[in-house]
Amino acid sequence: MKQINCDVAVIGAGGAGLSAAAAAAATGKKVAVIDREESCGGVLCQCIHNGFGLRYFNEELTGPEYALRMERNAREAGAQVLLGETVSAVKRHSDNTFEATLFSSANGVSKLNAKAVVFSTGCRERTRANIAVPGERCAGVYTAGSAQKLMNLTGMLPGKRAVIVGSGDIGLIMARRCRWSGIDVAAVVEILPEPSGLPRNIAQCLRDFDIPLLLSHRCARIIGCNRVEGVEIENLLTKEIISFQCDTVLFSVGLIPENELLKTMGVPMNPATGGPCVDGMCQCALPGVFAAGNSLHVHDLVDFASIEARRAGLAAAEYADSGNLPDAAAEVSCSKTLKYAIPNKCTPGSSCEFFFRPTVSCARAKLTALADGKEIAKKMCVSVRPAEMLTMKAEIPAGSTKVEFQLEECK
Amino acid sequence: MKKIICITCPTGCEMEVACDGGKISVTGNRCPRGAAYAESELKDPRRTVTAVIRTLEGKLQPVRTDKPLPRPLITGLLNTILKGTYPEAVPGAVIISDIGGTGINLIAAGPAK
Repeated sequence: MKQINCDVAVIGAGGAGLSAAAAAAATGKKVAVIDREESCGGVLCQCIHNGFGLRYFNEELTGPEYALRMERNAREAGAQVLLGETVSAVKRHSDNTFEATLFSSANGVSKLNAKAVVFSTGCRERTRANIAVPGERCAGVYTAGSAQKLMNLTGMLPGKRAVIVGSGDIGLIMARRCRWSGIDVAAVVEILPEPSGLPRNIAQCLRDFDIPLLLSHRCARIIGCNRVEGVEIENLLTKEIISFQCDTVLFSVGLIPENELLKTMGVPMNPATGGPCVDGMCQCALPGVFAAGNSLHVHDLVDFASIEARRAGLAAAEYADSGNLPDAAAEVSCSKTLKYAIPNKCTPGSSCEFFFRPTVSCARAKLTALADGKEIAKKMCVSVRPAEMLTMKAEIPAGSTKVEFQLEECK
Repeated sequence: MKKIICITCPTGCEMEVACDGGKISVTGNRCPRGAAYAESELKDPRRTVTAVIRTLEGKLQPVRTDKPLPRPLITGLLNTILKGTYPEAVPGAVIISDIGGTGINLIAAGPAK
């Protein structure tokens, strides 16, 4: 059996994993980054639209361009890239080292030994089944991402006239992609009273094409037996049912962090994010195990995932060297106006960057950080919406035991 | 007075654009790119076009325009690339040059697969 030895193993070579691998390899550590696909980039490969990289590279790129740059950074830093290899298990030995089991058609089963592991396994889409839409199981029902893969990586069209359920960014991008490919889009349906995607995608993907956005509406039924023939859309305010003829329904109804491997290792999970609980260095409650990117929590932009993963890669390299990291003794909590704060713990006496997902929408809000009841940082946030992540950097005073974040609406 | 959402970056500033004679004034933008976008949106709206093309070998290659293209030219460009096949290009290489005499090019935006 093939044996590979490294200091840091990174599982998943997408926008987060490649960044973690580049950062860890730049410290001189032996790094292997593994992906089950035959090329690097993960979901970036099918995201052919522009809008990536403004924060990380200070330049606007398409998904494949962003992936290429990240891959080049990782390879130039010296990371070994293992493609077409699926990781089926990760074990932690009693000497605190890790053993990953890999398999591929080319190499059969291999073992990868590492001192630290970064999980950057991304997320998968919620489907029609997750929101339990009644109707026959006819052809023509896709998640927005699978339709995107079909169109951009295989060159096939999903249908001729679509209704898109959910106004997340992937759904909006697909509305434009459909129109630019000659597919009619009857409507985008959103259950919430406000859109879930970025305002600029509402503008350039819907308004440019006069595609109706039906807020406070839900998909009540899919009509059709062998193939979709239409959908019934319910207005949640008036209870009125509108029917649309279509042969395709795309669901863009949220993402689920993919953490099956971490769960089998018994790593404590955070129900608010769907990812593991981590400290300020992206380390899970199991020492030597790190997580970053969309498998940790769903990000708005790949740039943020890459920035977070750089931190995970550096911390994993340091752990591989020293076998331990500074104790993250301060517990992090947040007010009800925030769905979560990441990380869940941080190290007193250090600087830490936090990510938040608000539960409220308002024009202006004040975000405050308190360490044991004393204010340590604050900032004003404008156009606060659940669809947009908030971030804050704070210096955590030495000796802190609790850090709390509060988001308060300003009238 | 016209309301425009800036598409230049993910912040998506909501801007108000007023046109007084030939003079355009923009409010609500958080950076100079917003004002430039608002002015362009009033006079000559443009979008970056992204698509995939079929290579001569039957592979798919992602492409984009190297600058935002005037909106009236987008459908024509998409129809052209839908019908054609093109030699595989290295990322960044020009595939169609000077679209409609604008000086804007269609370039490869990733490897062919």
